[in-house]
Amino acid sequence: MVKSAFSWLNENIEKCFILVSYAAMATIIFSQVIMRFFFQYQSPWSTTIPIYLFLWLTWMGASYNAKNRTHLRFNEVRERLSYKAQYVCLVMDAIVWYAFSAVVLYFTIEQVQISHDNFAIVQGTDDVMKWWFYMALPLSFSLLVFRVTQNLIVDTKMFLAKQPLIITTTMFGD
Amino acid sequence: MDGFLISVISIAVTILFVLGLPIFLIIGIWVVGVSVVIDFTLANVGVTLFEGLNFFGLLALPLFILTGDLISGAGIAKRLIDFAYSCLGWMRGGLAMASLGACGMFAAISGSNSATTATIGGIMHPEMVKNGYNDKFAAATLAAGGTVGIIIPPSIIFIVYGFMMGLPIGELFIGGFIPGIMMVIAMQLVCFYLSRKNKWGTIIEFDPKRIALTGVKAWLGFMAIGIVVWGIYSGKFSPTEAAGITAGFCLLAGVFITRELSIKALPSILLRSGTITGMLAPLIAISIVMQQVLSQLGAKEFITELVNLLGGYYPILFACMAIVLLAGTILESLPNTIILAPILAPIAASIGVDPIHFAVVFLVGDAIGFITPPYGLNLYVASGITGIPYLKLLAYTVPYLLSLMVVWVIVAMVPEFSTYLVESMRPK
Repeated sequence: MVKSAFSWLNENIEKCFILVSYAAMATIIFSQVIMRFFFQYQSPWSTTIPIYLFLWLTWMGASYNAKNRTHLRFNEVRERLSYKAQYVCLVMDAIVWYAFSAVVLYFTIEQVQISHDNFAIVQGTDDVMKWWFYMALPLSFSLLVFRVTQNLIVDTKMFLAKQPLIITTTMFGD
Repeated sequence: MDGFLISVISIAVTILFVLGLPIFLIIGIWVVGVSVVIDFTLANVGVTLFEGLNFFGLLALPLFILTGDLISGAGIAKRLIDFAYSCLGWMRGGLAMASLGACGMFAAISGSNSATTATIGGIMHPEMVKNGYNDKFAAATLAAGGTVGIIIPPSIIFIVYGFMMGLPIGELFIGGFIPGIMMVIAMQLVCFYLSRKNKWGTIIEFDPKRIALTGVKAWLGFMAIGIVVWGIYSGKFSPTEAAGITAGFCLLAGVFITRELSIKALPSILLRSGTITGMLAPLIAISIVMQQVLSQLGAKEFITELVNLLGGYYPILFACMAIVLLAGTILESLPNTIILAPILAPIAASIGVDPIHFAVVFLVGDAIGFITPPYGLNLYVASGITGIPYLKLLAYTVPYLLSLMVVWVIVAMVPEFSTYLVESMRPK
């Protein structure tokens, strides 16, 4: 039971955050423009809550891209490197992710704490706390570190088994 | 000593870039390294990753990405193609020219280059081959056609550029309108000439009834274009609101009118768009931190002094264009914009180039980068959807590349092409 719940979360946690925040953001903007246009009324939070939902979408999306190895990169040289050098590059990716994530986690947790201690609320609302949305960064980067570790384990297993490494990604950004 | 360490860090991250480290991470690690060297507080990284994205105008980015995916899913793109073909199919090369026209119309609802090539290409390439066109020429046409995706409004990259450089996104959209149409027409002329010369394609009868019929069927597409253009041009909506309304319109049209979109497909569409947003938005956030660090370093003053040595208006403008084109051969448009715009735009401003005009010139160059080797993203997309090897497409792309370069130079030399509509839109 616990194992299957973990397996489901492992597969879907970023997807859930992305779907909920994206759908909510788009629905709020669409409905509020309609409200303004036809009923001359717009909720004061309609321009602030979507911005904070965008934080969840962005950073959970970053973790999802780390999981799928679809972050934008210049891949032309790496694809032509030797098998061993490709593995070294993948290990290097992981090390740099860890180092950068450590900095981000340290300073974003600090920011969440400040926001929490100051009872900062989202503009246009009475009781929606900012830190609920600021949690997006520490949580997403913790997940990202977890995804990078999972990928590194897969890469190492493949390298030891002498199987082809995952180098090319297929997602197009713009 | 600081200068030496900063140089070492910059060289190290350049090597990591060449070795294929994610660009987000490259910028991130450079920012952290240089901040430590110059004693610039690292807390800034934490704050900016939250607050850097705190701008309502930026929400147009995920919403236009979603709109692009919805128009494909709703079958609106197919109807626009049918209309373009009935308008141009009576000429030699008509189907290929219709593909380019359809790219232009698709671009007027969506905001993405690669999505334009992927969507229109997926439908049109088999049709063009069936119709007697050379398959490589057909694929090259669709790769080139996609370049207008980021110039004809709305445009994802215009949103990023406007956000970073503090320019009104609505004005940037309007500024790209005429140059985008010029790009489509220039490529259609090339297409007409080559098709006539090689006798590619068959010709259909000019049939006003068919044009009217397909035009009526494509009304959803025209309405979506109308919402975006009218809403922004008249000032009724902000670009973000226009994006929200267009996305909602395409969703409702796909579910209730064309019935080609099921609610069940919505999560996978949202996830796809969310993945692209999760790729682009972190880059925007980290690039803001990079700008702050560059500003601490006095990079702007240094580069301005350096470029001023080049001389007058045109040498500097063309030098900027050459840098954009060169970087575009190895970088995607987004990193290209994030890295170069904060450096080149102030230089252009210092010699008196209108900021909207320079943005359009910069981004037309960025768009051309989509079909320049070695890293021409649209060529990869076209190769992916047609199965034709990347290198075989290159020769057929050259005529389109040349025509786009001519348009680029004209747009650079005649600012009115970018600024006329913007000026007319501003309150007197």
